[in-house]
Amino acid sequence: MRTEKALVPNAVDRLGAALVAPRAALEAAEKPSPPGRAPSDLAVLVLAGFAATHLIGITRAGWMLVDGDGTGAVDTLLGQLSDAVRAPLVFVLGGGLLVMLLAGKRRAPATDFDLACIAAVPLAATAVVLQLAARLGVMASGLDRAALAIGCGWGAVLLLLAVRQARRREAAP
Amino acid sequence: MTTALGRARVAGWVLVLAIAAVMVVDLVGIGRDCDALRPPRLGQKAIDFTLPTIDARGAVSETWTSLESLRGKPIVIDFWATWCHPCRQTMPVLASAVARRRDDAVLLSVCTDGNDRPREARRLVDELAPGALLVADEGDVADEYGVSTIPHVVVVDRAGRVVLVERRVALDSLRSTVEQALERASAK
Repeated sequence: MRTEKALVPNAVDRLGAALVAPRAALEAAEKPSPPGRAPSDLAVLVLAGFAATHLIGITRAGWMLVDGDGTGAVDTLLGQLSDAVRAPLVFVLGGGLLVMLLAGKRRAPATDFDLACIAAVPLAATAVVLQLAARLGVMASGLDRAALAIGCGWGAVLLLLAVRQARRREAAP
Repeated sequence: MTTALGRARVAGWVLVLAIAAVMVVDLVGIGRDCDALRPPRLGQKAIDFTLPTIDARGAVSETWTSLESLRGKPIVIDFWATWCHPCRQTMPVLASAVARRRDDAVLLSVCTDGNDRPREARRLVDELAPGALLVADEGDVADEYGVSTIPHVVVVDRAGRVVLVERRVALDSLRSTVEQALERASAK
């Protein structure tokens, strides 16, 4: 399929494909070359999103460091990082297991988790977009739950596509 | 270029731009007043805040309490949460330290659960720190005060200056530490 090859180019294209051309993104992830791109793409998105949306917290941690409270600074940073990473991580682990179980004999654990990583992209993307909307005053603050709900719903649809994709592959001997 | 790739590329760059935009907006804000993000230190003026009160029935009420409205009194600010077991050990110690002074000192109990469990917060305060003024914080005030672990105790003097920041509360020495801080806070 032409789109599979076309979607290989770079991380930005692959992340965008997960949002607007999920079937093509999932098909491309079935035959990755080199493998393991979906998890690294998701990791880059989550970490970049964390850096962007937690700049104020990072600055506060910097002040704590300046004021001699290194432990507090590290606690603050780790706390915020774990908050940012928790939802996508749980989604990928749960989604990967779901795809693997529902793929039956066609399961391929590494690829199934790659597919779950693609399905988690909307979750991370929604969080960033809603944070931007809040900063621009388009939406009220305290959007974490709304972002989580929208992202999870969108991601769930991609997980269903991922299951379908996994069930299409040839059964393992 | 296929249509799918074209749409994917556009969506990808929109995402990149959204991340960059959030970063720019925050950087502009930080650049304007970076010092405002500094957690209060000893001798500095305590950051003012206004939070909704949790009333006697355990509901987040329409009544708001501000730190400024308590100005002139020594204030012990206790950041805690209903799920935090060490916080439950700290609360009676702080309450008795405030009560023993027999002056106008106030225990301001800031529950960082926000609007999640106000009834539970009220029950715990009634049981462990009766007399404390209970307010609900979604985490914003705790962030401003650089609260990374709870319990976290701050004592503010009559002039609104910070005289104690107790980040990692040691229960053994907490009573004497807070009593000494309240002594300083009352004297000023």
